[in-house]
Amino acid sequence: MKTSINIDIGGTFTDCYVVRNGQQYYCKTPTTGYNLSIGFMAALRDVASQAGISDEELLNQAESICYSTTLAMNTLIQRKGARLALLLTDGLTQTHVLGKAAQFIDGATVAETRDVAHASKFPPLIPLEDTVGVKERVDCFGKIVRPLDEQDVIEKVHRLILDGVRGFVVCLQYSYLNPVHELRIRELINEEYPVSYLGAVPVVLSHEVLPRRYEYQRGNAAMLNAYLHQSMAEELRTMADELRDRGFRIPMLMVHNTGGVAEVFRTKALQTYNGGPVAGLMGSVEVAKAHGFQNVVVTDMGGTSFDLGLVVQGSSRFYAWQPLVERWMVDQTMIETISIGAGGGSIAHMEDHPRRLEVGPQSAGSMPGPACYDQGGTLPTVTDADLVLGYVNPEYFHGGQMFLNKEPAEEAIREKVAKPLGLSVVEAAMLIRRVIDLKMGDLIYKETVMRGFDPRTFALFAYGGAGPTHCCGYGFRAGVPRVIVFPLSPVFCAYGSSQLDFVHVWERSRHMALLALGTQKPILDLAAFNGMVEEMQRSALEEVKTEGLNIERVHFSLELEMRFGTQPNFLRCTSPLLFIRNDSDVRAVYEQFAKEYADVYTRHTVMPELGVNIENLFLKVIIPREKPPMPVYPLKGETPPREALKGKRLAYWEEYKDFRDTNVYEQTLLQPGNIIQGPAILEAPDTTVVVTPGTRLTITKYLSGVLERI
Amino acid sequence: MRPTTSEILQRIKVTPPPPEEVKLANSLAPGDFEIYSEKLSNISVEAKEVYVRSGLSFFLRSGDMAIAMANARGDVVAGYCGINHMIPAIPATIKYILASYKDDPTVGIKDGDIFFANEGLYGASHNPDMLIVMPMFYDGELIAWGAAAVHEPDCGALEPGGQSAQCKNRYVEGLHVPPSKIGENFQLRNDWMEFFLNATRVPLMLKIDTGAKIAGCMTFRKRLFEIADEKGKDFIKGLFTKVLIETEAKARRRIASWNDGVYRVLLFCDLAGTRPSLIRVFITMIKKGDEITFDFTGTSPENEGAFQGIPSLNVGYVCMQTFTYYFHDLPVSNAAITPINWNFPAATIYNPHPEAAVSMAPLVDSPLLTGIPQAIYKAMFDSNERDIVGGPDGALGVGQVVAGIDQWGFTISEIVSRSMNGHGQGARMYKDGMDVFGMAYGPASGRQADVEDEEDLLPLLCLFSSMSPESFGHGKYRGGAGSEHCYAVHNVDYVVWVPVNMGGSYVPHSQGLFGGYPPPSAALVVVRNANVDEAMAKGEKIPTSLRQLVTERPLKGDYDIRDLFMPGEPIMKGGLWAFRTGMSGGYGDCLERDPELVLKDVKSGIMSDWSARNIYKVIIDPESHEVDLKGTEKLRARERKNRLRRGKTYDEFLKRWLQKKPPEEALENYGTWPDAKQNKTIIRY
Repeated sequence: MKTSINIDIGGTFTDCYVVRNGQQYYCKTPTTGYNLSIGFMAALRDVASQAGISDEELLNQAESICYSTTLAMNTLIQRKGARLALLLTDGLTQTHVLGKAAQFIDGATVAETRDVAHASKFPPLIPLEDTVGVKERVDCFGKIVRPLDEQDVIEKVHRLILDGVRGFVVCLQYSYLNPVHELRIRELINEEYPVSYLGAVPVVLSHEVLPRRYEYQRGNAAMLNAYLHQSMAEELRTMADELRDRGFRIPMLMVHNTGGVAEVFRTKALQTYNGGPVAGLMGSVEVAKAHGFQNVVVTDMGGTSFDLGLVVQGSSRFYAWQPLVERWMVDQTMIETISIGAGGGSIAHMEDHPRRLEVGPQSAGSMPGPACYDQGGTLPTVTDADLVLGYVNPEYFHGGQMFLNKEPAEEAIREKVAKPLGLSVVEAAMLIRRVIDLKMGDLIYKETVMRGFDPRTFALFAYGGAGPTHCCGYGFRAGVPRVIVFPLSPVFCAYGSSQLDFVHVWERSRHMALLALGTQKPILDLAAFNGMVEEMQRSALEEVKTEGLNIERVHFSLELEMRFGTQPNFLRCTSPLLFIRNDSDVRAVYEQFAKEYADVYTRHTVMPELGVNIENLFLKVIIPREKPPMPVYPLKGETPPREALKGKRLAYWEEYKDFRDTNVYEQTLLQPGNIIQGPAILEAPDTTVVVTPGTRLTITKYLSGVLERI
Repeated sequence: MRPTTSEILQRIKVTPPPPEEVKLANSLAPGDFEIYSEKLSNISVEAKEVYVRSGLSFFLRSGDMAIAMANARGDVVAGYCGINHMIPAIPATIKYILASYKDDPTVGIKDGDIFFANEGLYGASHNPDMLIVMPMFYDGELIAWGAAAVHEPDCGALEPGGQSAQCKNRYVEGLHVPPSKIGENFQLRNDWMEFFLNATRVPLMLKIDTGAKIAGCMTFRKRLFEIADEKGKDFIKGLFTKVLIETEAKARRRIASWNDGVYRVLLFCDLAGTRPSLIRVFITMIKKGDEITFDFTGTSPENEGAFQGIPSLNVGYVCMQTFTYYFHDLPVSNAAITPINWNFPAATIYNPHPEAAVSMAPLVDSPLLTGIPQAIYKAMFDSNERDIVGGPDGALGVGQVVAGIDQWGFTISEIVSRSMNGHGQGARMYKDGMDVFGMAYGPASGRQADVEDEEDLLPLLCLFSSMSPESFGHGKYRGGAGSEHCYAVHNVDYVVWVPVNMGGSYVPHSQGLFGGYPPPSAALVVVRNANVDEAMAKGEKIPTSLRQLVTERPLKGDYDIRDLFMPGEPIMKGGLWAFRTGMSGGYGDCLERDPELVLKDVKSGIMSDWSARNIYKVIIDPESHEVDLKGTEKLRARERKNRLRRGKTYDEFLKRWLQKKPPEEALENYGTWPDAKQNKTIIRY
C-alpha cells in the first residue's frame, strides 16, 4: 500500500493519521464546526508538510480516505433538517412518546435513575402532532389481519405535506416479519409526490433500517437514521466536493459502529454513530496481535469521559446489550464501548450525607476548566490533583501551549475537599486520584467479569490525554497485570480506522425453536434456517460485487441470539457452523450457546428443559483490507539515552506517603528496549505517563511502553 | 415457631452492631468508605443484571424485582430494587432463620445453603413474592447473605396469578412457605423443587426464576469474597457496619430537618374482593425529632375476604416512595427506615388474624403508597428537600393476568406489563408529573414491553395503548397521565383473564396536595362475543381510544362497563377488554396554572376544552386557538370570589359532613360509621 488517510473528527479536535510508503504521520488540528472541510483540509496540509509534499500530491497518491465523526449527532440533537412525520400503526401512535414507560432511565446513572422527583422524559424525535396512525395490522406470525387502508394513507400524507412536513418515517407493527404495508406506503407516497417533482419527499422504512423485533427500538432507529441522513449528507457533500476539486476521485470510506468500513454510498447514517471510539477499539485488535496479547481492555481517558471496550481472543465481538444513541434505545448491532463521566476535568465534591467524596461525573470542561487553568474555575478536578501531586508539568501541558497554575489548584482542593475531610491538601489530592481510579478500575472489572472473563488474563491499553497518567491506578486496581501506553495515543481513533476491514452485517429476526420444550429434542426447521442464511449470503455477495470488491476474499461468520424458552434477554453467541445440516450440528450450536451462557450467568440458569430458541441471526461479511504494518524499530539497550532524562521533580507517591525526587523523561526520546523503574514520569506533548513505585516500564520494538508490577 | 408482629417489625429495624464491629467501622482508612461503599453499589448493579437477564417472568423482565446483600445479622447493606417493597422482607426473613435454625441440628446454616420464603406471617411479603436467601461463609465464618425476590406470576392459588379476591382463608391461596432450606452445597434439592413445580401452573417459569435468584446471590458472593481476599473479613464487617451507621444517621438527620407535628391522612378504598365495598384507611404520622411513628388506628377492621394487609408488606409499601423520593440518595437498606416506628392495630385490615387470606395485600396497601407521602410532604414542604414534594404517583394499578394455552401451545400464566407499568407520576411542586412514567411501586424500573414482545408471548392483539386523557389530578401542576389499553383475544379460542384490581371506580384512593385535585375514578370495559377479527379483516372501524370504544361502540358485541373488581373470567376469541391505569394527583391551585400550559395540554388532546374552562378557568379562543388572557383573568377573579362565597367554617363543614352517610351495603366491611370500629364477628374456617 502506498498511502492511506484516516480522519476522525471530534468535537474539539480533528485527528489525522496517514501512512505513506511505510512511514506514519499524524497531527491534531482544531475542528471547524461551521465547515468541517476546513479543519479536514488543514489536517491534510499538516501531515503533507510533515511528508514534504503538498496536500494535492498527498490526495493524488491516496488509495483510501477513511472517515469517522461524532459531529452528526450534535446536529441531530438540535433537530435541524427538514421536518419529518411519523407513520405508525393505528391505535399505537404514541409508542415513541411513551418510551416503554420509564424512558427516563435510559442512559442514566444509578443515582439519576433513583432520583425520580427530578427526572424527566425527553422530547420525542418527532412530535405527536406530526405522528399519524395507519389503518393496518399484521400479527405475530406476520399474517395480515387488517388490510392497509390506502385512501386513508394518501389523505393523511397529503394533510401532513400541506402542514409543512418534508419527509416520512414509517414504522408498522411486525414490519420485520412482513414489510408489505411499509413498502406499499412508500409506493403510495412516491406516486403522489414522484421524485421527478420538486416536491418529492424521502420515505424511511423501519424494516430497511433495522429489520428486528420491538417497535420502539426499530422506530427510534428509523427516525434517528432519517435525521442523521439529512445532516450527514450535507456534511459529506461539502467534503467530497473539496476532495474532488483537489483530485481525489474515489468514494470515501465510512467507519461503521459494527467495526468495519464501507463505501459512503453503502452506509446507513446510523451505522456511523460512535464510529471513532469503535475504530479505536478495532485498531487495538491489530496492535494486540502485534504485541502478542489475546485479551485486551482498551481504555480512553480524556477530559470528560472514560471509554472502554474489550478485545477477547484477538477479536472485538462484543455488541451493546441495550444499544443507545444518546438516550434512544435502538437495538442496532453496534460494537460496544462503554462510557462514564470520568476524565481529567472531572470535578471532586463532597456529598453531604453520608459524608463522602465524589469525583465526577460533572466535568469542568475546557471553559472554565480545572482550577489550575486559571480561567476562573474554582472547583477541584482530577487534573488539579495530578498537578498538586507533581505528576503533571505545569510548563509542558499540551506541549507547553498552556501554562498551569498550581496555586488555584491547591486552593480549590483545600477548600472543597481537604478542609471538610480534615486532610492535608496533598492527602486530599491523593484521595481524589484514588476515587477516580477506583471508579474506572471498578468499571473495567465489572465489564470483564460480567462477560465471564478474568481480568487477570487481560492486558490494558491506555489511550487519551489522561489515560497514561492514571492507567497504573485504574489498570492494576482492576486486576490487570500489564498496562500498555503508546506514542500514538492522542490520535488513536484515526489510527484505528486504518486497521479496519470492509464489514457488512446482515440480520434477520425470526423465532426458530432449536431444542424442544421438555424433551430437549432437536426440532430446528433446517430448511428454513439454512434458507435464511443462504438468502443473507446471496444479498451480501451482490453488495460486495457492487462495491467492486473481490468475492474470493469474502469471509462469512454467523452469530445467533438465543435464549432458553421465552426468556426476556437473548445471549449473542458465535455459531460454530454457518449452516446446520443435522441433529449433531444442532447439538453443537446448543453446546456453544450453553457454554457461553454459563460463563456469564452461572450454571444455575442453564435450563434446556425450557426449550432453546434462536431469535435473531447475524451474518457478518468481512473482506480484509490491506493494512499498514506497525513500524518496527531495532532494540537498543535497557538504559535510556542520556538526552531522554529531562531532569527530576518532586512527586507524591502513596506507597511512600511522601514526596520523592522523581526522574522525568521525554517519552519521544526513549528507545526500544529501554527499561525504567518506577517511580518515574514520562512526558510527551499531549500526555504524561505516570510510572508508580513497584512498576517497571519497558519500551517495545513498536515504541509502546509496557507497564508491569514488579 | 411463628414470630409475633412486633418481633417482625423489630427485625426490620437494624440490629445494633456489637462494639467490636463499630470499632472496625471507625478504623476504616480515609477513603476506604468512599471507595468500597461505591463498590458495594456496583456489585448490586452487577448482581441485578445477572438476575434480570437470566430470569423469565414478566415482572422480572420489566425490572420489578429486588436483589440485595445483607450483613451476617441480616441487615441490608446494599441492593438494587425495582420494587422497594421487598426490602423489609429480607432482614425479617434472615433474622428468623438465624433465630430459629442457626443452632438447630435438623436445619443449621452452612455455606452453600439456599433458603426460600414467601410467607408473610414469618416476615416475608405476600405469597406470590418469592424470596431466596443464601448465607455466605468466608474462612468458615458467616459474613453476609445474598437475597433475591420477585413477584412470580403464579403460586398455585385459586385463580391464576396468585392473587384471588375470592379467597376466604389462607389455605386456598397456594404456596405459603415459611423460611425453609431448599438447597445445600449451592445445589437446589430435587425433592423440594419437585414440590414447588408441582404446586404452580407455570413450573418452568418458577424453576428458571429460582435459578436466576441463585445466580444473582452468587454474584454477590463472588465479588464480596474478592474484597475479603484483598482486605480481610474484618474490613468487610467494618464496612458493612459503617454503611448501616451512616445510612441511619443520614435518615435521622433528614427526618429531624422536617417539621415536628401530628399529620393525618384519611383515604378510602371502594373494593373488598369481588364487589364494591368501602374501607377506611386512617394514617396518623407523629413526627418528633429524628423519629416518625405511623399509627393506623381508625382503619377499617379485618374482613372475611383476601383484602387484608401484612405488617412486613405494609412497611414495604412505605419503603416504595421512601427510596424513590425522600431517601432516594441513601443506600437501599433497612437502616434508612430504622427511625420509623409502627402501630398496626390487631384485627384491622393491616394486621388481620393469622388465618385470614392476605394474598391481595398489595392492593389494600396501595393507599399507603399515596397516603404516607402525603403526610411526609406536609412535614417537609419547607425543608431543604422541598423540591421533592409533590402529589401522589398514580397507584391505581389494574394488573392483568392472562392464563391458558398460548398461540405456540405453551401453558401460560403471565402479567401484562403494560398494565402495571403505565402509571403517571404525581405532580411535583415545580412541574407536571411525568406522563406514563413507569410503575408507582418502583418507577425507576417499570418498563412496558413492546407490543411486539407482548403479543409474541401472549395470545393477544393490542388494539390501542396510549396516554389516557384526563387521567390525572388537576392542579397548578397536573399529575402525569396514566395510560389506557385494549386487548383482544387472538390466535387461540380463549384466555382466562384475571384483572387484579384495587378499586377506584367510585372513590380514588389518593388525593392531590396543597389544593391539587385527586385523580379521577376508572372502570373496566369488557366486550364479549365481539367481532374484532371480522371487523379488522373487512377494514371496518377499530377503536383507538377508551372513549371511542365506550361512546361509539364501533365493534359488535356485548358491552359490559364494570367496576374495577374481580374475579376473572374466560374471554373467548375475538372478545376484548379495555382499561385505564395509574392516575396521579395534582399539586397546587388550578387557578395558578399557567394558561399556556393548559392550552398546550388541550392542543395535545390530553385535556379537554371543558376542563380548561371549568376547572382551570382558562378561555381558549375557538378561532385562533390561543388563550384569551384578559377573559381568563376575569374568569379566574370571579371564581376566587365565588370560592369565598361558597366557603364554610370548619364547624359548618363538619356539621354537614357528619350528616352524610354511604348506603348500608357499601359499609359491609367498613366497620362502624364513621369511625370504622369493629362491628361484627369474622367467621374463620
